[in-house]
Amino acid sequence: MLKALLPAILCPVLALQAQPADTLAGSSLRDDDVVITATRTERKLSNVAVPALLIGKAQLQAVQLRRLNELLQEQTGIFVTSGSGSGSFGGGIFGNGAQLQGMSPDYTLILINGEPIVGRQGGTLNLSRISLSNIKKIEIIKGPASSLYGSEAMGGVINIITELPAANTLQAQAKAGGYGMVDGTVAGTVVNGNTRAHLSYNYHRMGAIDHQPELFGNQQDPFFSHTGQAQVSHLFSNKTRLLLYARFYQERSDNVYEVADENLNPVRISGNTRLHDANLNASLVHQFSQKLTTTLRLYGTAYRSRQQLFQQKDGQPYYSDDFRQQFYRLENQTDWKLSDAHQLTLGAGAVYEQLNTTRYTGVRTNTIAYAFAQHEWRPASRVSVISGLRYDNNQVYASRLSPKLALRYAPTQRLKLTASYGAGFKAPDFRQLYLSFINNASGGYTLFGANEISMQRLTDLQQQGFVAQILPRASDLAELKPEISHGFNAGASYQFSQRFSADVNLFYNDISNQIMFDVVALRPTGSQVFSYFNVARSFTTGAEWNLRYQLNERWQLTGGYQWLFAADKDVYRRVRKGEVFGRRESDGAVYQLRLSDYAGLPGRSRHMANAKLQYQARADKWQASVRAVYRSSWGTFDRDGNAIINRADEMARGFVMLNCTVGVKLGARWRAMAGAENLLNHRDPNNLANLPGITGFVGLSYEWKKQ
Amino acid sequence: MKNKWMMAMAVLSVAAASCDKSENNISAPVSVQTVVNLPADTTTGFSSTGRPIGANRFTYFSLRENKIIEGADTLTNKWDIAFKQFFIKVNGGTSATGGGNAAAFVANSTFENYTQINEADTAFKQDNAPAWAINPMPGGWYTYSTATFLAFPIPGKIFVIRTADGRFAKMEVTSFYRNGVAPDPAASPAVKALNQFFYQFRFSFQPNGSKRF
Repeated sequence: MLKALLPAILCPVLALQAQPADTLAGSSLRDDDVVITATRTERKLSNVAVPALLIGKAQLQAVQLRRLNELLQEQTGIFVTSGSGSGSFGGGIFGNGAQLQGMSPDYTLILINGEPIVGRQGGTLNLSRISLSNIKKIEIIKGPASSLYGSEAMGGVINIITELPAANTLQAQAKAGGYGMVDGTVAGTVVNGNTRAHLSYNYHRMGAIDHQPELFGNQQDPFFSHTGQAQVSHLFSNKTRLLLYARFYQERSDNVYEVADENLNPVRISGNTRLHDANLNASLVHQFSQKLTTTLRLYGTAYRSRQQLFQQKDGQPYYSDDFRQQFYRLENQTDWKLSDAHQLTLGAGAVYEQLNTTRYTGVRTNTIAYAFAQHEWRPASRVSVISGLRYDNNQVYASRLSPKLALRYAPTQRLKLTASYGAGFKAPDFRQLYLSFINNASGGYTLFGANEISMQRLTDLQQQGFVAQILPRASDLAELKPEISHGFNAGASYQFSQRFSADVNLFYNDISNQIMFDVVALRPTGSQVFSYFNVARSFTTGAEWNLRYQLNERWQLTGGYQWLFAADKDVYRRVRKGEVFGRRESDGAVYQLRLSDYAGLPGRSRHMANAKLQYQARADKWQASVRAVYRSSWGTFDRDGNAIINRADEMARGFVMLNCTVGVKLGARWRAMAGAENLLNHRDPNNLANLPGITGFVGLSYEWKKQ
Repeated sequence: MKNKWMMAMAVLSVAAASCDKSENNISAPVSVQTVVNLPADTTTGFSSTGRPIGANRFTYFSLRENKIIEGADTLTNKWDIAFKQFFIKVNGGTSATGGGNAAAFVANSTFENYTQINEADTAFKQDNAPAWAINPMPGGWYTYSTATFLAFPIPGKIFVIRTADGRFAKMEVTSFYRNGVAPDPAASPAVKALNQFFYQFRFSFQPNGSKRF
């Protein structure tokens, strides 16, 4: 009976029912078939009307990967971006982010148990910060979802749901592999009456990735991390339940690289970067009746990143940076089942955010108040209509209204059709508002956040002699508006037989008000002063296919493919009108670009595909999986001056990554595992800084569970 | 420094790459001149914080003579166009010396296909500080990437120039880097700085006053 309570980390209704049920479908749910992120209420994956992906426990166990970025890059339609390359870019500084439907990682909201993780660097939240230990499942919603989640859910949402077993358990796992990888986890659960407590600890270490030993420095510097998690649930009565979740993360990487002094002599720099990340959330669920449940959530998170670099020869400080962010949220969500056909979800909350860094002046704060409503309607058993709206009111930038509408129609038992529209937005971040950064090293540019600069301030700076000339562009300086997206999805899934199913989804995302920087003034030295504007408009469009074929009880074959085209609208229009030229790589000749020459936005692969073969022996004795992931070439840097990607040498090479894992049960409690990753040894130091070459690992795990 | 500049500026003449097809055939074929490594305030050192420093001086150029103009001649109308980093001035308007009447605008075309000035005379702009005939801002006729800290002339941007003495010329800048080779995007800022502002360009000067090239 307790096991039946398990899925209810965030879902009040289910938590209190003996048998979990899709509140509108009337059917009982299996744990590995349920998503909560799409509607904020638990729904069968097959009943969800927006593109959703669920990575369950079985899949996590089959692959035995360690970090979130490794897992996501094997999924259909998810492009895991790599931190920029070596040398002056400082070895993968911004880490790995997840691109959904071709939208930038800046636009992917990352949640743990429904609450956002903070600490983005250059817009990207580094996925390697998240350990795969202690995870029950990962839910991914593709396409704009701000109608439920507000800012950042502009391209999609990744929600990581942690484990809270229903019985006393003790688990331990250790893995070791190439590149000095060590990963160890211990976890335990205690169940006592109406209280459950789960504790886990993970240690992860990764050595340097250095594909260019002839050059000083690494593509990725060595790092190690500690992740501690604690989760407690308590049932005060069969109507009231308390959930506490705490996470603490600490990471340290040792940095080395080389720069040149005025005489071009190498100067070696070393130091370290330390991250701290703490999250604490509490939620109280009360069920007033079978029809009415309310949840109160309190969440706080703090993130700190410190980098200190020194010159190796004399220990002189070279660079230091301190970045601190805090985020607090209070939220209420009430689920009200009006009838068998109608369910209403209402919510409201307030956010307080604070940031201080060496790159801004003072402590910056923001407060947001928001409210949302969602109505789910089942006019017939085969039809559902979900509509939603959210309003975000912000202190420091323009407010935003985000609607959504999703339809699902199942004409037959086998066929399901879905269509949805969703709006998304991303608030201007603190960097875009408050940055005040003078880069002396790289050509001496100055970058001001939009709230740090105005015509008046530029005039003052001109009088002070800091600025020599104010450019006409400066007259466009204005309050930044959120970046916005509108996503359209249409999909179909068909169950050909018990063994074979396929689905397809077409998407189009329209993105506008994108924040870019532009030159507003010149310094006496001629160096440029930049600030931010809402200027760019782009779109991403494509199609995603998934196939699943169960050969027999033991073998399963899955495949996925995404075709994608993402382009800047203004560039696209100018190329179509024949206004854009390119310079040929071979002889420098200038030619007029055709649309077929334009490769679209950088960092997007036209084709991405994966194929996975999974084997599961009877009684779980053996387990094996082989996964092939393909990514076609993608744009990196412009090299011919037209600021777009149109030449072969502006593209990174496409590649296939082949990974495999095998596991065997040794007795009742022990399991041994081994795996090999990147078997084809694809390496690209400049464009895939964080991808190790061919590597393998072995591991051993122990699990005791009270029967 | 003078000799160095002269040596750095190897001038190649590509004869009769394009020819005038005017019906009355009054003009001789216009040749295409290629200029390599014209220094335009190159980096001579770095500040204590690593910022590249140059001499903050323009390099003056005569299109008719196809050579760098120096010394007292830079105060006459002997030069047509001058370069300093991304700044370009023409010998006209507020930049005029010696009564120079130069003007210019940026056309969208390939160098080869731009065979005749069809634009109205009003298209020609003179320097009117702080506005310039050739806008020094990135995104106009060149791009500067804040991802790679590399600059490139935008392909398909042609300077159409009326010289100080009222003749016409077309010019295409092909690179800002020494020997026309852009540093690798991953190269250090110092390597990028030390190799930049060596202009590579080609031009056609029409001495007879016609607007055809």
